[in-house]
Amino acid sequence: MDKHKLIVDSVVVRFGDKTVLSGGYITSETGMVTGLLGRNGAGKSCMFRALMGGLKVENVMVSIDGVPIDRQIIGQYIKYLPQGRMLPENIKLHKAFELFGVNYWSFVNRFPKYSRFHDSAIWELSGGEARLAELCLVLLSEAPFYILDEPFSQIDPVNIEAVRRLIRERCQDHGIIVTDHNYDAISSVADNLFVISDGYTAPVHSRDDLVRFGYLR
Amino acid sequence: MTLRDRIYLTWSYGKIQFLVGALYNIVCAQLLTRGFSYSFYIDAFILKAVVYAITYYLVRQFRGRDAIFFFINLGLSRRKLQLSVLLVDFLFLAILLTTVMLKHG
Repeated sequence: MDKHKLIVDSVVVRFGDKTVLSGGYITSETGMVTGLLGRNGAGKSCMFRALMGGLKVENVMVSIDGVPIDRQIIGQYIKYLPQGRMLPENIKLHKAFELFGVNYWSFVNRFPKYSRFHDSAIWELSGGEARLAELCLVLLSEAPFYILDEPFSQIDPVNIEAVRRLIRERCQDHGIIVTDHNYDAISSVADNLFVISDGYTAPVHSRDDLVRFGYLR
Repeated sequence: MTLRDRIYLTWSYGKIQFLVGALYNIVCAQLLTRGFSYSFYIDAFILKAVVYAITYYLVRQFRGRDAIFFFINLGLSRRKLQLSVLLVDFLFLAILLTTVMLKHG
């Protein structure tokens, strides 16, 4: 197994006069799940959207194994599950899997309910069904790193454990960054944690750090 | 990614812009058949740029903010996709107007 290290550094995002991020930083390594915590509006999603090229950014440095990444083709290195709907409404589910190079039936093996959605368009699925399909699409496709923005939102409680298992399984040969509002959801799956506060990212070593940064009381 | 996939994704990304652009191109070609002038040919391109910019702005406003990540995940940046849409759209106008001009000019 090849080990890789992703470093995202010096992320600066401003909306007009408002500075959302002044020193965003996060790392990820093959074989590890990194959790990113932060209060609402702290800039967690902003950081990911910025590094993936979906948001205008003042500065961002992304490197894998010390080599800077061309952000025009960042999707080849990092697959990103955004917070909102990613798949076009009209695309058939099997077509989306084909484009991402994922075998649809391997996904059905994990979630048998989806065997009947093979020819369904995304708009025919419920919000939760579409969310689970998108999550698996990202996690089962090939890339050294995955970033998952609130992967547990909209997922049935019965599937949350399966998603957790899938994340742990995929992190054996990949690096995964996960963010969520829910501390318990993240801490149960992550090997190390970062927190965003006042535009800066800091590593979390203990629960006290989260209290110090105003994330927990 | 195959060429077919790339064409499919470009169409999927720029569908509305392609359709508005095609409608504009057809109207221009129709007007050109009624009477040719070089100034019309040039004006058609200037107005095309304005229509293109407005359509681009509106599509960005109404598209889901995370929809772009479908394309980015597949290795296609917004810049690359937009450039493809722009090239195809303007090329189509140029071919259509030149064909009409040669036929009726």
